[in-house]
Amino acid sequence: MLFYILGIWILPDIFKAYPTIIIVAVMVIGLSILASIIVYLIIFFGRVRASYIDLKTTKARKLISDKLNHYLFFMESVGNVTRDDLRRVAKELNKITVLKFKSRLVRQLLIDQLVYFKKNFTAQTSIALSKLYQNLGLKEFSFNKLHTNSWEVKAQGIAELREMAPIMSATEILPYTNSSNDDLRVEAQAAYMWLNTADPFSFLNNTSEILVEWHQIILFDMITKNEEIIIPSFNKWLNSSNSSIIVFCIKLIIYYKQRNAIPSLIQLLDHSDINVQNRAINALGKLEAVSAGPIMIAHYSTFSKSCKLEVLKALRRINRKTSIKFLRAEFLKIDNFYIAKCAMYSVVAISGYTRAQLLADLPEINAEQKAIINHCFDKLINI
Amino acid sequence: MEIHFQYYLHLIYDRLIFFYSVLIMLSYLTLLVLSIFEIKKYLKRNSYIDHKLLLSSPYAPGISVLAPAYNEAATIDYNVHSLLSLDYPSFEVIIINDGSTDETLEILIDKYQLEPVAFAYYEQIITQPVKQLFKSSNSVYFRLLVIDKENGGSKADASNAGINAALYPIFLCTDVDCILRRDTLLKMVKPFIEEKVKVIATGAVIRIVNSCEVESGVLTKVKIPAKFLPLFQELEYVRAFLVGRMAWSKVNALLLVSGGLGMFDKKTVIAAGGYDHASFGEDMELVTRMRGYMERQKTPYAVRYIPESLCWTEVPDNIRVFGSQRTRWTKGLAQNLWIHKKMIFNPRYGRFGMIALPYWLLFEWFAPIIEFTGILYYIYLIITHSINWDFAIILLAFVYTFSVMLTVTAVLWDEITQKQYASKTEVMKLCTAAFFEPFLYHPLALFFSLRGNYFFFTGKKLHWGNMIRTGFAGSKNLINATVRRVKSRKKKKHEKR
Repeated sequence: MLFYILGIWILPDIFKAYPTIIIVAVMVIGLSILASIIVYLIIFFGRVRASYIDLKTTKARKLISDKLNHYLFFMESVGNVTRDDLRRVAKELNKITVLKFKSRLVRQLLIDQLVYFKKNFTAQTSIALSKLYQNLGLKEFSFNKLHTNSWEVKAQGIAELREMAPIMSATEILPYTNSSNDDLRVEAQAAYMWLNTADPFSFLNNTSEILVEWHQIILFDMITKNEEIIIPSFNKWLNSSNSSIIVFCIKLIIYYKQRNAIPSLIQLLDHSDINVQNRAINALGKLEAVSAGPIMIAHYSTFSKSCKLEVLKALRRINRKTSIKFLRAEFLKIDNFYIAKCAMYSVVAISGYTRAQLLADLPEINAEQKAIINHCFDKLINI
Repeated sequence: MEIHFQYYLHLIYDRLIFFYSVLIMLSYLTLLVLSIFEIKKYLKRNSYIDHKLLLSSPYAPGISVLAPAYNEAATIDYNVHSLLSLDYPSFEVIIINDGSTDETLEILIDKYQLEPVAFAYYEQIITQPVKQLFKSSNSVYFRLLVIDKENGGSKADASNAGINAALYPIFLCTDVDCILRRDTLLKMVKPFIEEKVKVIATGAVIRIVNSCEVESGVLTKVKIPAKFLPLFQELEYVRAFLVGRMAWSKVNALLLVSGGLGMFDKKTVIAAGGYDHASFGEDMELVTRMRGYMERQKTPYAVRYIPESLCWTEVPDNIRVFGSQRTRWTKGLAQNLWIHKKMIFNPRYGRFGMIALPYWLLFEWFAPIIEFTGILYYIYLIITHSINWDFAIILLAFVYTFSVMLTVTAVLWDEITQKQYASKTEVMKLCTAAFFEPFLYHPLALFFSLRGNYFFFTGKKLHWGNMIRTGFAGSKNLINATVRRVKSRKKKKHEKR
């Protein structure tokens, strides 16, 4: 109808006597041609603009990189950088960023380069890079990003501040740790942990949102790379009502080998979430919790298939000969191929039997079980 | 009687078919809008993220890369090398030699120092018999597993054998001749670990390698296809992947994850029964079945698409092979819709049953048939001298200009996403091709689509053609040398005996 009205109004008189279908078709033709021309022009001028930016970026990147490399080499060789040295570097870089290229693009390039170098240097050089970042006024540039409307710009700003300005107040980040946007929230949580080294994990107390695996990977990386963080006993979050927090803390318990968490982990064997059960079993195995072996065996029949497989692996890691009888029985049951295979792997690892010994010990096995034994002993498979 | 016939014919073609066309166009416009939202969302989410974080993480999920190979002697050496060079902390590469009659297996054994292993192969999905499994005695290739099996007559059967042997919970299915970007696994696994719902499959954009420069299985320079057929297929791929798939991903109703590059949750695939070896569109059929399974389980799930070009594949550059491929695809689509007819317009299957499947039925499968009858109607009008040429031309221009607009917009989406081609001229060439596509390429695609339907309705037997590899620019001599070397070794061995 709209097309028709527009058509009657816009089209030359010759078309006005035409059927509605034709008027609509003519209108669509006009709009399609117009849209195609616009798109064509956007593509063309977009390319022209991109080439210009590329040229500018390459030039600026080279200059920034040359200067930074020069001073990094200087800092590394001197060992201790004085205030004057820093001032000189800042002055040189200021010439590039402010005088030669008065653009956000170049400032962003400089931040990217500084972040890159900061990630790859430690000690004095790392501190010097942070100071350089602040002397150049780039901290304000990053900080201003927190006040934009785009969440991804905010997240980028937080990531830069976390990396480059460790002396800033964590409270500036705090409001974003409860953001409704998942990515922004996790970036803020990571920064908060990084900046608030005294109580970095307080956000775990009140996070009701699911911490997806990707976010766990980001936070895990952040925690394990920051040597200044005071590591608490993650045991206290194993009672959290948020299963993803429990899983995340179990990963940290394993990484920091917090064996004091073993009793709490054993309690998690009864947790309603299979994923939590699975992770708890995995942790008990990795922590070589000998006391958990008989308990896991006792619970075994109540577990799901994935948890059963995890128990068999955990028993292998705990490595107690007392488990062999159970593992052998699981292998001989052959209810499930994968359980039998996993059980046999554990028998081989714990018992130290040779293939011939095992075959002699298990005379009445079928072809499938024999294939599993051969599989477990094949050196090329088990590299 | 004849007056009645003509009246109804006019009614159908002057009114109903016009509204049908408008409906298709509106659906394309909707897809265009939805796709840019999804692309923007992806670009935002990944603008500041370092995917390499996964490389050092002990919690990156393991991935099995499956690549069925049938008579791929020409490129197998470099293809396997390329797959083994992917960036990821925990993965294996499984090559399934599907009863090749050329030197595919011999080249693999020779190049990768393979030896038979006592692999306990468990057949969760029934396939043709597996003859032998091989691992490399050289620890450099510890990630490689080669399965030698009897030919199953389809890629599906070989892929199923790979799934049976896969070690990890997620698998990537690709064609052995595809060239993957090194960070493919890092990018494709991300939706599996960043979504709150269970992700059962992910796909990414596939591009055409025909004129690109490739060295030792690694893409060194992206170039626009030089030949007529691959160029138009490139245009079609850009449109299909960046508009169609991204839009369906946005509404979580994606039906097709290409066989060339798809990552799947192994548990769900096995629960759904694996690839259907009898299907000619096994990739689409698998996703349909997996979706059906998840809907029946009432488990929240998602199938996601990535707008980045992660895979380059060789496409047919002659009409015979192209025709055979397109016929197969259409027959596969028709088979899939027929097999899963109970899901179509079935509210139990949510938006997948109520929107995606009806769309494929009405606008993807049915459109070529309608178009063909429209051509017949035009011919009838011309013969009976009852055509109004002014109107006919306007209506043709109506479809033509819309098609061009849609295609150049897809190219713009590509530019927004990644600026795949280095030079402006190449992009402009692609845009210009959009003007010729409706005349030169579309009639071919239409013809083979009708042929596919003919094969489907008549039940005529259709064979899985073998894509004839010409090798990539600059790699032919090396390929021939490898084949010659293996043949000469075989000859020497034979003489010794």
